[in-house]
Amino acid sequence: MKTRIGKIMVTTVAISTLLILNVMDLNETHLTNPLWTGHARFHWAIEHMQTCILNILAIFLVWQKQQTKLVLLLACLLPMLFWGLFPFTVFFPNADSWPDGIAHPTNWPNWLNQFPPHKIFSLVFSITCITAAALFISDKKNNHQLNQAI
Amino acid sequence: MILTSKIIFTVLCSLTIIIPSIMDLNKTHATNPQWKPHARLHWAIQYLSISVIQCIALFLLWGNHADKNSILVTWFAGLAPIFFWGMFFPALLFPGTSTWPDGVEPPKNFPAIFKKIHPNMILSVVITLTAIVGIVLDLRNR
Repeated sequence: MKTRIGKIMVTTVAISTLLILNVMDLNETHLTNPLWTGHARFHWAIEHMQTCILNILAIFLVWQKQQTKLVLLLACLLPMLFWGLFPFTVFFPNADSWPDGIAHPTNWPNWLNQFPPHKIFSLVFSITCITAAALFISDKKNNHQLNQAI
Repeated sequence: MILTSKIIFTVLCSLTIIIPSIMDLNKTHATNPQWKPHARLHWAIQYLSISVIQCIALFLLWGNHADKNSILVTWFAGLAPIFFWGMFFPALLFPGTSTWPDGVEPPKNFPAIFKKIHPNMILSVVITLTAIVGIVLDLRNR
């Protein structure tokens, strides 16, 4: 049961990531942002495709038949290669999570300036993936089956 | 897993950490004054994620775990460099992308051919094809 819940959690995060990236970024905030230079856009395109592929791979890994502990843990890790890395961008000078040249909507709550939606998503999805990993590890029945598979 | 593939994957994963770290952690990318802050954030995530993926692949190849030498390791370690280098040509399909670093002039006596086809693109083809060869070699010998 724990494993099934974990699988649903990873799948939910991966599908949400695919939806968020393709709905929020494939427009003038990123894809056609006139403020972005060519090579910056090139690296964003690589990151966009890579993240989409890794999240599709995560969904495949949790539902395919040959499952081992490592496969399930890897599936938990893949969505975090996007969301889990947001906090580490503070080490890069002048990086910012708000889209360039886009003004805040009117009536934008002040508290969202302190903790913008990207950071909330990053925190929620990372915790969800870590929880799923913990569920996979703690499921004794699952561990027995996985050990047999190994 | 056959040793040839293991060595190929190890070299490619290591190169995928080393090359961007040397070429990109400077004013061409990390501190390029022409880059806007959110573009820089996405580049930082791309740089970090691709480095972490290569480290995971190296762990899968050489670490002590139950799935050592499994087909999963072959696929993941083989695809790890492709997640970066293999995306170069599809990335050119996005509007307004450029393979040449923004605001950086080619050195004097830079071969004309490399102004049309950036060395990065050649590297991307070589590394992607080598990774595919590594995967095929291993799968054929199983």
